[in-house]
Formats: sequence, structure tokens, C-alpha cells
Amino acid sequence: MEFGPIFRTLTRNKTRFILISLEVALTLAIVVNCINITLHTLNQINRSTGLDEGGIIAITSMPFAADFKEKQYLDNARKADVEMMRSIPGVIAAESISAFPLSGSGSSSGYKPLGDKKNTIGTGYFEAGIDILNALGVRLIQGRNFVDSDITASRSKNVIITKAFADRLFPRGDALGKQLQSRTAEYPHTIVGITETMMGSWPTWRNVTYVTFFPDKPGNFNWGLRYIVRASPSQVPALIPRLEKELLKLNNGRNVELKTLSEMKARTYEANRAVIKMLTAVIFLLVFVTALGIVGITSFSVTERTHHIGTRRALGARKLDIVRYFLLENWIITSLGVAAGVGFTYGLNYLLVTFVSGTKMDWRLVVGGVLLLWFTGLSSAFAPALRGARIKPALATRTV
Amino acid sequence: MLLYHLRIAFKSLRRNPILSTLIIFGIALGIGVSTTFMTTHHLLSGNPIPHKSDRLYYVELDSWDPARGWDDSNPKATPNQLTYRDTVEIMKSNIPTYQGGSFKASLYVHPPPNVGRPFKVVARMCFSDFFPLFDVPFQYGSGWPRSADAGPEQVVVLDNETNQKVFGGRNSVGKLLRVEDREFKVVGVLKPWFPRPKFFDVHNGAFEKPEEIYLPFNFVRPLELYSAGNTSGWKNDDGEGFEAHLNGESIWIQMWVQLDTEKQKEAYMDFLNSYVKGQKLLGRMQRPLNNKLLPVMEWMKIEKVVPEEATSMLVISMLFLVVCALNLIGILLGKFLGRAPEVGVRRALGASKWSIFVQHIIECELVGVLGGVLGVLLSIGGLKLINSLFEINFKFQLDGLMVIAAIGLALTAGLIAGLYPAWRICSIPPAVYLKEQ
Repeated sequence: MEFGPIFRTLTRNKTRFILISLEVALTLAIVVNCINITLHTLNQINRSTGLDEGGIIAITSMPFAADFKEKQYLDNARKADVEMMRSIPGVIAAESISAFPLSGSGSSSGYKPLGDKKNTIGTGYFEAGIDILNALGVRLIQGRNFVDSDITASRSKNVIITKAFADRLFPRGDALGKQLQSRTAEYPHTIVGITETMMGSWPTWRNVTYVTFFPDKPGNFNWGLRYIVRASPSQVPALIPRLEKELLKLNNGRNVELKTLSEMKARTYEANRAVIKMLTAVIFLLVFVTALGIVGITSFSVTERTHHIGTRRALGARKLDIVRYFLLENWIITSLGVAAGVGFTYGLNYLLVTFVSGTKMDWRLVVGGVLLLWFTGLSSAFAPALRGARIKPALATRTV
Repeated sequence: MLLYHLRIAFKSLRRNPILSTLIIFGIALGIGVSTTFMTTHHLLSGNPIPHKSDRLYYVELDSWDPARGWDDSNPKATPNQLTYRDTVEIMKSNIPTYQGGSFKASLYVHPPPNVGRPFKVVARMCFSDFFPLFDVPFQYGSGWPRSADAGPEQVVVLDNETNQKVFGGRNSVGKLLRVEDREFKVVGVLKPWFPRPKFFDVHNGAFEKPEEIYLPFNFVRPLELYSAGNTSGWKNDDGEGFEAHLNGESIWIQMWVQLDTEKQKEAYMDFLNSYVKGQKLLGRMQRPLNNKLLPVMEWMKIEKVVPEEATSMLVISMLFLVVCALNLIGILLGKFLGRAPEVGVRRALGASKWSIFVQHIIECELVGVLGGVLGVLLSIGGLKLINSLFEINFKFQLDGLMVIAAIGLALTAGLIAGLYPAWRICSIPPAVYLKEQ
């Protein structure tokens, strides 16, 4: 192999090759960091929500008729809505709730074990009727479900929380039956049930899997009434117009809005998806520009060394030797760049994590990036190298 | 001389059209990408009310839990809104030029039956000063007089779209509109108004449209209105019901004041401090005295109005431009050195080092300008693509400043990329190349 001669040539043309190495290094740093952000965002979007998003219809009923200001009227209307919806064929379960999971809108509060001295822990909370777990399709894994008498309790409630929240509050796993308090110890709540994992209202929130259900009659004139209806996903498209019609038929003193949970989720993640597309575009353009640069530089190398190639060919070097020479030269340059680039990659990652936001770099991505740039370098150098190999020795060595 | 250099530069570009296209396209890509993200960042971080942003102040008082501050990670942070009771009390000051607490509420508008079903709007509950405070532009009529605040009188200001929807866009001043269970007299209709960011209330989306109707703040009691924005609390209300909510420690009101002079500002700060000291005597506000008057742009920073993604994309796109510039240096170096024999002859015939240098820099700047123009065109396409990705209420668009910045970037990139290659080519020893020929 021609390592020796190549190295000596490189040291004579330092600047140009340092430039290309630097370009490769920066490209590696940017590309790998972009891919890192993209994968992290994709993971966020595709995380399991614990909910059957396609099969859940979220219904908002916004009353304008003044009758709804009467608590009794509102309670009756809620009951009538839920009963009517449960009776429609295809509906598996229906229940009232104060806000919708994954919607970006809802309520949160802080709780801690009763008597605990530490800070409270944030949780999303939903006020809901007693059949809410069934409506959301969320399985109870410990304790009991709500019963009618839970609704009537006033300020101290029996609550159901998610396993994630239970484990955070009581790391020893003995949350069932324990009591919770907010900042002050008055009106503690009792944990009567623990559910499997599900997400609350804000998918980007750190504590999104900490969810608490309060048995209640949610909603009022101002905030409106909200319902969760579950059906098999294939029936949902037909059910939505049907439910809308029936709800307005039952009570016309309001407007209703029906959406699937998957629509709400898509809206919540819209910005993240856009960022993924922008990053992907930047990655492709960047690799493209770097490839162009390598093609250009190798072309110059070849042109500049027409004489030298001719001499080598005349002295018996095969075409293959010439191609190999340029590819090897390119590989050395790319490798120098890649070596520096690994440092740059971690540096940029550190800056992004510290000053903007981001996640720690996964070393496997760096390896992938290195392979990508090696491949880009070799394939970009190939065409110019081949042109070099086709140089006719007789022409090249002829003096002008 | 400049014309001569330009002619040579054009000739040089034409001599190798493929290579020249490659060079120009490379720099154009860099400019296109960086201008696209520079523009989005510029629009998202802009000053929404430049002529008075340093005279408008957002008021924050530390009314939070004595046992635990507003933000665990920053002990100096103050709660980002005010309680109802504090708003009512500090509104009694006569120091600010204009002042007003406000919040948003979700209300039903009942249009005449021939127009359609009742529909929900987001209303801003505000004082008469809201309109002059933020220079809200009117199409018809005006805001309500200060005298209408106290009553409150049943007056309403509509935004342009709502007036379009209910009154077909006609001058509706003096007409009646039913909101919830009572009739309000229309006193004003806004021109289309879309400050970016929506600086007077950035909670729940800093780039949302402003509210659709504006009603006197004091309807909060008769209509029993809760905030449709964020409500945060640390203490249960004393008792049940709406009055308990109003007298509680929940925060849900955004308070702004206009203070035109430094003296006015000091006087108002003194007023706030003495108010809070008075509350301390009553047993409220037991945290250390920490009142804030935040100018518009400072509040935007504290509320992190510019999305992190926009900043990340800006950084990444600038690095992209750096890569393009490095690329350009490499190619120019090769190209210029390939011309060494020709330059050797020119030097031998008497061209000075300086004139060779200038000639090559001009060629680089020509590449910069061409790349810059093409880059601006590319960024128009880039912004169109970004607009198609979001369902947002406004469009990202180039403005004059950004075009100038883009061309400036292109010229800088061309200059920086050209310096080294031009220096190299002008300092070759002519004799070496003459000998070979």
C-alpha cells in the first residue's frame, strides 16, 4: 500500500486537506446531533400512551341554555347523556370526565404521603364518573374500582392513581390503602386502586404518567361537560356523526364537539413532527454538500497530478493502482476528519444539552455517523479517481 | 478597474460552467438554509410593540407559599400572574399613565337567529386602558371610557373576524350583541390585529391569535367568570363558591402598567412595596419582599417565548453555512492554484501582488452575490415548506431586513472563503511557473 507516499503528499498540500477534514468533522457533528434529536423526538411521539387512541372518542358539550346553570339540571343532563350513549350499539363504555388525556389541556396538583415532610409531587388529575377506567380501557391492577358512594364523599376522596405515580409516592410498592395530602394536611385522600400505566393531559410533561382520578360529577356551565366514549376503532367513524346527532337531539341547548384521542394526540405533537422533517432535510442537504466538496477536491487532485499519474502508469502502475491511490488518500483525509468529528459531536451535544435542550449522545449513533461519512467520502471520490485512472500515460507525460 | 476585475471574474466563472454552478449552488444552499431559520427565529423573537416596549411593565408580586417558592430551581422567581384581590387593590393607584389587569374567559355569543347558532368565543376581560396601553388598532369606534369600568356598563369591543361573522363586516358600533345572558352595546371593532408574540398574555401559546371579544373586567363577578387561561394555586380557598375563589390565593390575572418616566417607575415600585408591606401586616404575602416590574422583552425572555426548537435550528443552520463556506474555500483554493501558470505570466508582465489579490477576492464576492441571490430564492421555498408543516395562525415570510442579512451573510461567507485562496495565489513565485512553459 502507498501509505508513505500519500502521507508525504498530504503534508505538502496541508491546507486543502485540512479544510476537507474540517468539513467532514463538522458534518459528522451536525448530522449525528440532528439524528440524535430526531430519534429522541420520534421516541417521545411513539411512546405508549397506555390508551387505545383510535378507539376513544372525546366529546365536549358546551351548554349555552341558562338551565344548565342549575346544578340539578346539569347533573340530570350529564346522567341522560351518559345513559343514552351507553345504549347506542357499538359503544363499549361511556363516562364523564373533567378533561381529556393527551389533549394538552387539563388540571394538575401536587400530593405527598400524609405526614411526609418533603415537597409534593406533581400529578395530572381527572375528576370522573365511576366507570372511567372502563371508558378509557385502562386496567386496574390493584385494589378496587370506584363505587357510587365514592362520588358523594365531599372533600376527602377515595382516589385511583397510576402505578407510576404510586411507585413514586411509595417506592416500597405499598401504596394501596395509604393516604395522600396536598401542601396542607387537611382533607387527605385515600388510595383505593392502582391502574396500569397511562398518560395524562400533557405528553411533554416530565410527570405525564403520574395520574390521579377523583370520583366526582365533573363539569359546570362555564367549563362545559366532557365525555369519554370507547368503541372498537373500526366503528368510530360511523359512531361520531351518530353520537353528535343523538346528543343534540337529547338536548339542543348546547354545542357538541367530537374528536378521537388520536386526533388530539396528533395536534399535540404537530410541532415535534415538523421539527423532525426540518432536521431530516438538513441532514440530507449537509451530506450532499459535503459529498460535492469531496468530488471537487478529488477532481483538483487528479487534474493537478496528471503528470504524476502518467509517469506512474508509464512505469507499470495499473488503472486499479491509480484508483486505489486516490481512494486511499480520500479515506485518510476522511478518517482524520472523522476522528476530530467525534470530538466535535460530543462537544456540540454538550452545548445543546447545556444551553438549549436535548438528550445525551448514544455512542452507537456516532459509530453510524462515522460509517456514513466513510461511505460518502469513498463514493464521492470514486468518479474523479476513475477519471484519473483513464488518463493516457503517453499524453500525460508529453511536455507541452 | 472594478469593471475590469468583474469582467475577468465573469470570464473565469464561464470557463468552467459545471464547477462554477457547483460553487454557486453550494453557497446558495448554505445561505438558503441559514436564511430560512434566521427568519423563523427573527419572527418568533421579534419585538411586538417596539415604540413603547421599554415603557410597558408586567407586574409580578410574590404572593406564593411561605414554605416553598414559585420555582424550586430559582429562589428569586416570582409567580407569573396576580390574584384577583391584589389586582383590585393595586388598580387603585393613579401613578401609571395606563394600567390594567386582564384575563381570558370562555363565553357564549348569541348572534341574531338568522346568523346562526350560539358560538363560543374567548373573551378578554379587561379595563378601558387595555386599548391605549397596547395601541390596539380600531376599524370602527373605540374602546370604552374609563367611566364604564366601574359599573360595569354593558359594552363590548369585537375583533375584526367576529364582527365579520356576526355583522357581516359592517360598522356595528351602537348595535346590541348578546353575550351569555345579557345584551352588550358594541362600542368598537378592531382592525385585524395579530401581535407576535401575543405579548400581553403569552400563557397557553405565545403565538395564538388575540381574543375575539373584549368586555369590562368587572363582569367577572356578575357573570361568575373563571379564567379560561392558566390558574395556579398553592392554598385551598377559605370556603366554597365563587366569592371564596375571588378572595383566595389562586393567581390568574395578567397585570400591565405604562410608566413613561424613571420617576414614575420609582413611585410605582414604592407603591407596590408599601402595598405588599401592608398585606404582610394582615398575615398575607409572608415571603421576602420581591416585587417586579418587567419590561416587555424581559418578560418574553422569562416566559421562554421563543421555542427551543427554533434556537436549535438556528444554531444548526449556521453550522451548515460554515460547512458550505469550508467547502467553498477548498474548491476555490484548487481552482485558483490551477490557474497558477496564468497568474505567473500576469505577474511577470507587471501585475502587482495586490491587484491579483483584489481580482480574486472580487471573483469570490461575485460568487457570494450570485449564491446569496439564489439562496434568498431558496429560502422563500424553505419558508413555504415550513409554513406547510404547521397549522399556525400566521405565515413565516422574508422581510427586507432578512434579505439584507442574507446578502450580507453571503458576502461575508464569500470574503472569508476567498481570503486564503486569494492570498495563496497572489503570493506564488512567478518564475517557477514561467520556467515550466
